[in-house]
Amino acid sequence: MADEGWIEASGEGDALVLHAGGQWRITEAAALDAKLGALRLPPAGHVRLDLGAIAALDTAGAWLVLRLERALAARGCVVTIANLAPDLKPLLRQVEKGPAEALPPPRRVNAVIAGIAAIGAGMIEFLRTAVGQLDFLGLVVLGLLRTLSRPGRVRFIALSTHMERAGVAALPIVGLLSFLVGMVTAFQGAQQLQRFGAEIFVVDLLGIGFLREMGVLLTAIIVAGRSGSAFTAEIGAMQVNEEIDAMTTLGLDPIEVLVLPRLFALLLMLPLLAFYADAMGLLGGAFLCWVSLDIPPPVFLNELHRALMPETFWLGLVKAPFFAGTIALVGCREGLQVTRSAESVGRHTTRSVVHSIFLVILLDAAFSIIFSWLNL
Amino acid sequence: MLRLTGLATRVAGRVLHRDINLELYPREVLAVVGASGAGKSVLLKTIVGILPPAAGTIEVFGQDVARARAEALADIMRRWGVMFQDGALFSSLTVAENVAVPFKEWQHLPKPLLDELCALKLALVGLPPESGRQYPAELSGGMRKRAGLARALALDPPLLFLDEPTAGLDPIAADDFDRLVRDLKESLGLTVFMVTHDLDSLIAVADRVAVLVDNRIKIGTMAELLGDPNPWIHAYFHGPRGRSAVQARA
Repeated sequence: MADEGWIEASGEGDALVLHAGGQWRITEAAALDAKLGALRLPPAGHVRLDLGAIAALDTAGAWLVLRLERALAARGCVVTIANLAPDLKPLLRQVEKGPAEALPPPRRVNAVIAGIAAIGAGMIEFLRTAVGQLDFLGLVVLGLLRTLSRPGRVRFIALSTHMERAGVAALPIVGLLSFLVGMVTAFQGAQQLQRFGAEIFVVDLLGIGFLREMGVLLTAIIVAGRSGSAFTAEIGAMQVNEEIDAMTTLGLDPIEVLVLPRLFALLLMLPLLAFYADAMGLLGGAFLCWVSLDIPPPVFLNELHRALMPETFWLGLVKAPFFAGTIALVGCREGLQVTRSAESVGRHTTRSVVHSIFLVILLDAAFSIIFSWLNL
Repeated sequence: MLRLTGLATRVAGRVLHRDINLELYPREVLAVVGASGAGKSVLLKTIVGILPPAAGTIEVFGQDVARARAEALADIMRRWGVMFQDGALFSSLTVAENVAVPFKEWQHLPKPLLDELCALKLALVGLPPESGRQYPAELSGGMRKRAGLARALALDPPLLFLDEPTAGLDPIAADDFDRLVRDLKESLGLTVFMVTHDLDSLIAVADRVAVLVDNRIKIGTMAELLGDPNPWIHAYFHGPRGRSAVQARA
């Protein structure tokens, strides 16, 4: 009993006395709040609030006292506070500066309406992103033209750093995944083709499939996940730290300093990585053909030579710079969109990866349609 | 409250402090001053356990922090409040949610009472109630500091650490902040360990001053330090800024 906070009523009518005592502290606040809620307050009259037995008081306890006093006063009671220990008085006075009422909770909205509103907001957001992306493309093209008119301003050190990070450092993962996907494609294709006794056509499947589609698409998706996200997070963290504002006031153009080196790096590296992925995919396929289908490498190469035309290779690789541009632009723009919070960095990094992969696949589909119009 | 014995710190191989002995008495405000790079913030971060000390012991509420068990340490942390230089508010939470973090972590309070207490803490540090709904990025530097203080004060800690509380505030806001610290110290019975650059704030609120100079610490009242022969300390208190601050309050 001695350690808890307590409140008791005694007397009736005009002689009502509320005795409070014990520990009126944050650790007791929840229990006290319940006790105060259970207290029956008089409709009016004179109330004496005897705080003489309070052993310890902190701001939470003082707030509860004050709230009780205000609740009584609001009902028309005349309240006198008595017997508060003198060393606790300054605290009560300090808390009196506190708010008359708590901030009203934000308005609740019907779940159905909120759902519909969210769909609408998402749609507007989508359109705004599309327009913003075009706008950004324009800015980058202008920056590009400015830089090309003065080639001395190309930032070669930044460029080579980004080429190293986005390109060279991606070699192991791109190579390994392409090799494995090549093997799997060959294996799955062979299982179907074996039924017609045509497993040699695995080589055609692999060659055309990998060189035209899989190699470059796989590379673009890996690069979007590795480098697109890194671009967003790097630029976003700079945005949080106001580094980009600082850059602007120093007369540096963020597009020129941050975006162009990353864009150029991907434009140069993605085609090379895609070429490397093509080679590793074919190698994986050839390896599987050799060990499990009894097609030795010379036969594989011979068949590959027969199946492929030079344009098969170029039709795949021509897409790489477009994918690279998409990934770099989306990654950098999302980074610049970051506002000053940690959560925002995360949200935009996610968006950067999702949007760039989505756009890469959309572009790939568009290329397929264009190529079929051109009978390629 | 707080006792440092033979404390030494080293950052990136460089010794910043050696043989620091310091005792913080209940209900006093101790201000730590020193040149930029003298390691004021490092000292504070070492005391609150973010950086490991190179040597020596740190006792808080009579317990050796290095030897305390996890629960004891959590208990100590519940009984101190730390305000970082720029507030260090959680950027993805609103100001009111920031203040509510310690309550939610350590106490189970009914939601209405929680909201009332958060509003009370904001009012105590002089923030308008509407600011509770704003995000830290939407606040000015001074308001972020106040919100940081409100969060540090949430659980009514008897021991408060302040890192440069008035740096970057306009003089009026800085005076307000000094008054606030003094009022809170009086009414809540706080003990305050304050790192500062601000001479006015030293004179307005500090009971004792600790000067970090030449990797060591020198503690005394303002009057004692005014007569100190050390060249840096002399320059600090008798330079144009020091003189005018002393005269203004004298």
